[in-house]
Amino acid sequence: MWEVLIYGFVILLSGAIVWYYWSSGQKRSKEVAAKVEQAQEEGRFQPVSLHPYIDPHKCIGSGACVRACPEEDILGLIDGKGTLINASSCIGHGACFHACPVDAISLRIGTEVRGVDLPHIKPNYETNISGIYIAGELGGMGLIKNSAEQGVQACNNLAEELPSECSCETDVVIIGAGPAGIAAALKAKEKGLTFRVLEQDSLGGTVFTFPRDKVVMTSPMDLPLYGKLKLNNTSKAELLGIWNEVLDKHQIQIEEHSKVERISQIGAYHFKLDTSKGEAVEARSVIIAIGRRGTPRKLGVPGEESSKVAYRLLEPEHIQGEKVLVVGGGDSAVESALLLADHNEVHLSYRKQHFARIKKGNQEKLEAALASGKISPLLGTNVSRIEEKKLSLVREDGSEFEIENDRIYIFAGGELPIPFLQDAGITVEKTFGKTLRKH
Amino acid sequence: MGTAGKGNWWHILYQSILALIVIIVTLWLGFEGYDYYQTPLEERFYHEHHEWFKASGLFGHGLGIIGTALITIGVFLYIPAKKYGFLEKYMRLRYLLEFHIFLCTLGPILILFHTTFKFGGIVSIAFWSMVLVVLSGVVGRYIYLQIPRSISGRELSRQELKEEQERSLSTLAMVADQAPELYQHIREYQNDEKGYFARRTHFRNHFNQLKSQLGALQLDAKEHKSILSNIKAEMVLQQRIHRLALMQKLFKYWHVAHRPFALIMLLVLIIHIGVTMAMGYTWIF
Repeated sequence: MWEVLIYGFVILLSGAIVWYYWSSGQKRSKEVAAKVEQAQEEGRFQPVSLHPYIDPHKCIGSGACVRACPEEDILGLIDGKGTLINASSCIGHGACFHACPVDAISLRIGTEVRGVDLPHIKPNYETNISGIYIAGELGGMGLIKNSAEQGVQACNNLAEELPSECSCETDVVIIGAGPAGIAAALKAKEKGLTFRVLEQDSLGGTVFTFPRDKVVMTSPMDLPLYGKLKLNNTSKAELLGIWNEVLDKHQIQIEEHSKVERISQIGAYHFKLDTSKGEAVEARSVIIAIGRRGTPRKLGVPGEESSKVAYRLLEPEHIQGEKVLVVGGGDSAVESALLLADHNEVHLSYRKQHFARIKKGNQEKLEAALASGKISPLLGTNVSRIEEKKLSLVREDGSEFEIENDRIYIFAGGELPIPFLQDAGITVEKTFGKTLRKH
Repeated sequence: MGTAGKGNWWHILYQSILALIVIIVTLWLGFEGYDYYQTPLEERFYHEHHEWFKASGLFGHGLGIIGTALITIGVFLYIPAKKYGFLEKYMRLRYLLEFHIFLCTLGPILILFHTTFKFGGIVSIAFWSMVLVVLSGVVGRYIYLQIPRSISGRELSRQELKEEQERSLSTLAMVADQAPELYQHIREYQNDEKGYFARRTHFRNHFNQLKSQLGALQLDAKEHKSILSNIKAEMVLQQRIHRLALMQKLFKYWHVAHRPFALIMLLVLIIHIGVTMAMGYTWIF
């Protein structure tokens, strides 16, 4: 009798555990499937840049990739298999790649249906033009560690290839001061090369446009003249501090706000670079480390050159008590407006009448901010003039009006640097689902 | 890019050492207690080493404790590492999974010898749960993942055989009017949507029918045999592909057995340890 009771109890308990596991798993799968469906509807399912590809024949559904991803709802599990959800929001941390216990994840760029323009690069990071190298995200593989390693290797290879006879004073011009450019500059210094670093914006690179303040790197990297660098939940400000420290220590100057407009080849291992400052720089070689962010698209209105105009929001906490206009209707514009709304008087100008294709979360927060009056919408408007303390905007019917303003943030998208590369003679190919990193 | 060659060798060495430990320990345990374990249950009491090998004996009890410790470490090292990533600074999850597989293979082997191959009482629920957990783990990690590769491999072989059939039948068509009928019959079988078990019973009847149809063509013996063996090989492959597809469907649920039964095993194990200690079996402590 006791035996029957005991066995009966254990069997019931076992059944209850299996049932609970099964039903909660099914519930989670359904939730993820719904998110995938929503992402497909909103056009967020297709990745735009570097992203994980999960081999369904290798995946055991451990969920380690979901946990490792620093962003939310990029990956999920359906019926014990990993899947992409909001793949277009993936910024290529690559944490999932390292976390997978069965090496089921590879990192790809482009998909079967969505091609991505990639410059053709040899294994030594040289392009089809001898003397021009590409390192970092522009070549497809982003992430701080990879970019920095590529910058170092490109510089190393370049130092070996450079012919000794050349009339140029500068051995190499490094375009871009992100992780790849900084690492290349440090390597150039270590190698005793003469070099200049030209940056169209300011020190840091694409990493400063990441949506989170924290920078995570799963394994340490070797930085020339610095040693091992490990970033474990380091803030962007701290990272900037590290870059500044190492550059100051080795007296490396970054020429900020100096955009290279054009690269022309004068002869073998002899290039001329025209900058936005009207300077013509000659060099024996070039390392292009400008990332894929490209150049922020400008409005082309009078006064846009003013110092109160910015194309990215770096430290919203430092902006307080100001009259701010945010221009744009995408996630970047909406997120920035929301970040500034608590301590500033924020207007949000968008040329259309409705905000479309923004994340559901952002949509909800924006609606709440608009309803509470924290953000004043200026829909169907375009900025027509920027002055020191005010702005002029024009409505769809052509009527103009002015608002008081201290600061303006423009998020009108970016122009990818592909025409710049093609103009320099570099071959660019459309890539569909190319694997850039696998185990 | 990818893993460096040197790293691969270290990894292979790591895996080999773990596998070797499991094999050596299993062989040693089997060799050491072979005489005792093969003694019928009712006679073991009189075996000269009964006090040593029995489940509550110094050796047997020790195996149970060490085996349990290995499983516990294996489970509580891997699961939190996977869920919270707390060991990722020190070890890749891949190596930790392999260590989990190692500990949770060796542990159950020690426990198997601890039971002295005598399975009864409530604790047998823990034992069989453990077996289920180990087997489902093997299925999930190795067999289930292997199935798609096996299917595509067999699909390729089948495709080759089908092409061979096409060639034979087009040659036949030149000499015999009935060949298209046979060809049609084969096509019907190939496109049959029946489930695996229904196809299995259908197979022999169908093959016999084809055999008699082919016989009616009055071909020479060698050609007849060759065509027949090709048709049979293709049908067998098709059956195997269906079997693999069925396995794939079933094995998809491996984790439904693996994870919940690991919990059940641990629960019953705690009861087992509690009862054992209450009865005064404290091993060397």
